[in-house]
Amino acid sequence: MSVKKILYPSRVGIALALASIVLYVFFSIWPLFFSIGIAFTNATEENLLPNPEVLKEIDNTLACINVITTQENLAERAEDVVEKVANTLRALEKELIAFKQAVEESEDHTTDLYVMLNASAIYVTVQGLRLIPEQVQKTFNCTEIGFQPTRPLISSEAVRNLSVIYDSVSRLSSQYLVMGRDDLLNSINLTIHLIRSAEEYFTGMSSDLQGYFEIVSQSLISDRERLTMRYVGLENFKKLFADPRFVYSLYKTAVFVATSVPLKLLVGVALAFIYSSPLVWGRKVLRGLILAPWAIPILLSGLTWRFLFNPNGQLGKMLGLDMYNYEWDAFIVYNLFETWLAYPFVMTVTMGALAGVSKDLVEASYIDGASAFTRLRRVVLPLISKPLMFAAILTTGASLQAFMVPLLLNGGGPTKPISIPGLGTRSGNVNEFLILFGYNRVSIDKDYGYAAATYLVIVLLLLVYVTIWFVSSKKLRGGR
Amino acid sequence: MGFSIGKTVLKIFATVMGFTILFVMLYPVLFIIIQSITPEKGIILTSLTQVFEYGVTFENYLRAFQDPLFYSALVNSAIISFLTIVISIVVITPAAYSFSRFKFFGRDTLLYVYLILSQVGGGFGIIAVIALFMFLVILNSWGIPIFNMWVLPFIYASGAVPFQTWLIKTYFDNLPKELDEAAFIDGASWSQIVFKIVLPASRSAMVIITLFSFMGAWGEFFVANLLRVQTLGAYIFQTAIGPRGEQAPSLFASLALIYAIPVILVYIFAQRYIGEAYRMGAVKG
Repeated sequence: MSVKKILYPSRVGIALALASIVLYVFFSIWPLFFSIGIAFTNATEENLLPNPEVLKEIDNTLACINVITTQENLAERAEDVVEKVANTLRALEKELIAFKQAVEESEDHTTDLYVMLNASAIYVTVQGLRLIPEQVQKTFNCTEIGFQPTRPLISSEAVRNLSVIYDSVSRLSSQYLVMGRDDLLNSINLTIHLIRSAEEYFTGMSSDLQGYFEIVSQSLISDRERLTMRYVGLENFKKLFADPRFVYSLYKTAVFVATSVPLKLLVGVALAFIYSSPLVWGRKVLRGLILAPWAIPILLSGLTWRFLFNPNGQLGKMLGLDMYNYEWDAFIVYNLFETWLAYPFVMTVTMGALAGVSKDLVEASYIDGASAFTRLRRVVLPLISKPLMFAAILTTGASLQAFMVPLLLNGGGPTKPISIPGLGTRSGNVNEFLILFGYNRVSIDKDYGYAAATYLVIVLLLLVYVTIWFVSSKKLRGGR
Repeated sequence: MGFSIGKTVLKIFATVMGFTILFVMLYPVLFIIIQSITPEKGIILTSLTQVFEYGVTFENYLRAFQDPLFYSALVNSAIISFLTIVISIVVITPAAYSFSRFKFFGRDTLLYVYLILSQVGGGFGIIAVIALFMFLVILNSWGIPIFNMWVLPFIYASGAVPFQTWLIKTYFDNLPKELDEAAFIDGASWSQIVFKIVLPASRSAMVIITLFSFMGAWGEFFVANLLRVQTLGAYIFQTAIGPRGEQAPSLFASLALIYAIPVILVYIFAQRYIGEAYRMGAVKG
């Protein structure tokens, strides 16, 4: 022992292993701990990487609102402008209604005097609106007060509408003579409609400008909150266990384990028996070839299976399976694909065990006159049961963590409403197995905090599996 | 005599069955190869006999290399695979040697953790990668430009640490210890032992690492796609696995085959060690 210590000093040992440990910890272990932290925040793509420009814009706008509402001259100016707009619009609406009436009552609107009078009244009123969009723009402009950049304080659509109203009213008042009656009435109605909605907006503002600014500030503040990552406690976990999609994913994963594991074992063991039977000529070559699915990168296999099981592909047509539209069709294809991917493993393990079954033992059972079935059950099965148990446990893990299979075939689809009694209904992918569920929360929803919480729960579930794996494989080895 | 004829019939029957099952199981492989050599008509073959109708062409393979995106992805994949191999060799060989010969604090625990992580399946790997992605997003926001192809080799090498450390440790366990012990008694320093004795003796270990690292790095597509690095795998994942793949199935079948062939070839070379690796999983620990 002491010789060993002198020969192999632990400090040299650590020095040699350090680089690999550091590499592993930095790229594989540390992120896991980091994501545990993320699980308790509201991290999303937006707030994990907030755009500083956007944040500055929001802050500037808030400061600007503060200045406008507290400095008396600015506040007064704003109130005046808004009131003026509201009044003008109100007047305009009234006159347009009168104009419309006049047109309707006239026999020929091009010659009717009353129509003409109304038109000129409108023309005069609308001139008051001509400079208003610019004025509004100027009053509610923070750049003038010295804030740059900012968001508009007033909906730019409302300002644009004022210009549109000005344009269409001037057009009406100057060109009504060349317009057909129906056309004219239609235009008037449209314009009245436009004016009404603008009027509502500005009247609301002028009656309570302070309140308007408060609402704008509130929405800015909530924007700012959304863009700031913060601690949310257990909120993500509450959301997770109330999410029908997650509960359904748990259920679907369990069903997949229950169906795919027996299938894989059955096919793998059957193939192992066939290709280790001395009755098959050239079995060594066949054995090597049939392990091919193992050698092929999963991306190529995935593409191949997508083509074969395309609703218009050979096997999709032959078996009548449409994995893009039917939940259980896709599920059947997953099972077949998973079996195809995994049988080489089960087969190899079983063949290894079969090779260990001694010929003497089998021959002895021949001499004893045991039937083929008894021979299989009493002699062969007990000898291969332990390695098979081992394979079963590992392959259960593979089904539990199935990710590439649904991802490559159809991304976990199709998308359907998912109802869980007591939790309600939500639209989601019906074949999202656990790991894929978390991934889709990252890649589709960009909801990182939620995804991290999902993964924390999944890791805990997997740890239960790992414990079972560890204890039972230790037992299996100990018994050998 | 009658017994022997019966046995021959049985043998013929069993052999026919063996070949039939092989054909069924390898049908997807045959299908994708034939799809890749039919002229691009935008249709997925519904029967292999259609190849007689449409004829055979290698144009799809030539077209693949005329695609500049494919070509640059190929170059990226080659660079990334090479760097992954270099990093893995530099980092894992000494570590495996250390785990095989030395005793230090935490050694056994670490080996157990490595064993569990390399055996329990891919789920942890995927979760770790997604967690890493979030972490890199944050580093990126701090101004550390980490979203580029030079990070990938480190991620791949890191992911290979548990499995390959075990594999190479087993290899060193089987090397005679007397070699380095004799050198030590002769008064050689540790650096001399490492460079003059251990490194030359671990040439096969490096070959094993090279084979596995290449298969890992070349075949990988998920991490590359997540970090938006255009490797061959990521390129095929983004194009072929989706509507575009169905619009040009023959072209994308040949792209995917070009991508897969190096991995398959290396796999055939590495097969011996893969068997060993699985045995190791069943015996060690």
